[in-house]
Amino acid sequence: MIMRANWRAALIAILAVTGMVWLIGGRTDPSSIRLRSAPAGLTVNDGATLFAAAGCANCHTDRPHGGALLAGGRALVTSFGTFYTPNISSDRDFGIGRWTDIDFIRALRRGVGPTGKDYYPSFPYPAFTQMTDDDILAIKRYIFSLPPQRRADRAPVMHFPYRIRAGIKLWKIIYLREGPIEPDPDKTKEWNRGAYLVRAVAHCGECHTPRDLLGGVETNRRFAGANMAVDGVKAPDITPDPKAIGRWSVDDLASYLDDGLTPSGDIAGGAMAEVIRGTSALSNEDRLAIAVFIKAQAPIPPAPMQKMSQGG
Amino acid sequence: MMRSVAGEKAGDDWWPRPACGRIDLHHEVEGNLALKIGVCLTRSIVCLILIGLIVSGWSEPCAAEDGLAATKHRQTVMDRLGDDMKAIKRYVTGQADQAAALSAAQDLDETASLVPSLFPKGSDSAKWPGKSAAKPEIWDNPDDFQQLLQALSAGTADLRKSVGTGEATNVQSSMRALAKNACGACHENYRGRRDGE
Repeated sequence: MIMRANWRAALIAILAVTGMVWLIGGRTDPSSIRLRSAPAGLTVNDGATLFAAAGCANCHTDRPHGGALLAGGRALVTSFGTFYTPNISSDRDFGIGRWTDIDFIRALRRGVGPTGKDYYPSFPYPAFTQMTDDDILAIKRYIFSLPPQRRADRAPVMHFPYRIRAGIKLWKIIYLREGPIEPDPDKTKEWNRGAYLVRAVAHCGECHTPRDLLGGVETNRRFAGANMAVDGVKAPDITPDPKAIGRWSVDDLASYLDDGLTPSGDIAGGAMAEVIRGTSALSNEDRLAIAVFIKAQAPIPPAPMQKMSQGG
Repeated sequence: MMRSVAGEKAGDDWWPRPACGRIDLHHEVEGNLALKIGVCLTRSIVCLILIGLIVSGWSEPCAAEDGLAATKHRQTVMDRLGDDMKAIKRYVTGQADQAAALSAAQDLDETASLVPSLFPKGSDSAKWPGKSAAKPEIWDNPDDFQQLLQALSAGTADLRKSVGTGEATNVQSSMRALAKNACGACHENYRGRRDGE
């Protein structure tokens, strides 16, 4: 707690700097985004697969309370506050039905809404920014093919100082690297496809990489597991460390992403079961690519277990 | 003392007979009213203590211990289901023969029939944090849970049949259906984590 208090003091100082940054014009200009290329002929079906792998419906549907698809309202309890996910259905009043293609790309690439509002990074735009314009728009097309839902959004309940939205601008300067991702020419095509799916689309690291006190992912401990991800649930280490998934073969991992069955005979539960619902919509080749990429990561031993605040 | 003497003279009528005993102490300790009162008071107190204990839920620790035992039993059964699934998966990936898979599939089907009896009240994670992974929501949504139990029994029967045909692709699709529609669907909403997970 003491450490946290210090950090809060530091944060307040940082927020003062943020104000200056804002004054000297650090604002992202919403009009500056351009489509990199004319959208290719990606179909609604391609969008459906990407939509599933990106797990949009998992957060934007209040499944625990029987909420309608993409109507939002799911509570995400984090150490920064409680977020209520917004309605991203095609409804023109309550959802994103009026958004243009540019609006949608700007939201996913920069975390900025059509009116210039900065989104908290609980919306994983630091991952989605790495997607290609084509894939982003394929997702939009799919979302717009789904029924609109009339449900009003609810504001997040944030702890101090995180409730100061201007802080997000500074956060972005520190942590947001705008995409899309560039393929690594030294790696195989399969590895690169896996990297794209893991980093940009499925955003595995958003839960499985620990975060620092400002909520940025700790890049030197990528995929090493987070003791507290959303709702107080631990996301395990998924590096090839012997104490993590070192004993899993690439095939074990690829088939796990299809049926949820671990090499020890267990079946995934909780949030991972939702993730697998998405990855099972991918092709076998894509699941293998994910497994190849994950298994090629540096092994990092899991951090010592911390007492969880709740059983999960 | 004066009152006792007066009571003795007035007979037993003024003093109600103890309701909690069958033996008539009035005769056993006749003539010694102080002792009589003492015994009756003791019995009354014991009676009150017992009633108090029952009312305040003295029986709870017993039920609670049952909850923990049920939790451990459930975990043993679930581990066995996992071992069976693992054995069948080895068959799918060509690391085990059909006979081994068939015996695992039979065991899986039979063991799965125990599952509906494995969730007595009081074996949930709210009561046993860190020990039980069964979320209290199970008991809040009995209809949904029943459906999942039915999916489990249908799924294990189907898998057993598929392993019997000896077609690896059949086995794979049955296994996938079971894992998703029964195991995964239930774990998604109703299984939390224990310590060390």
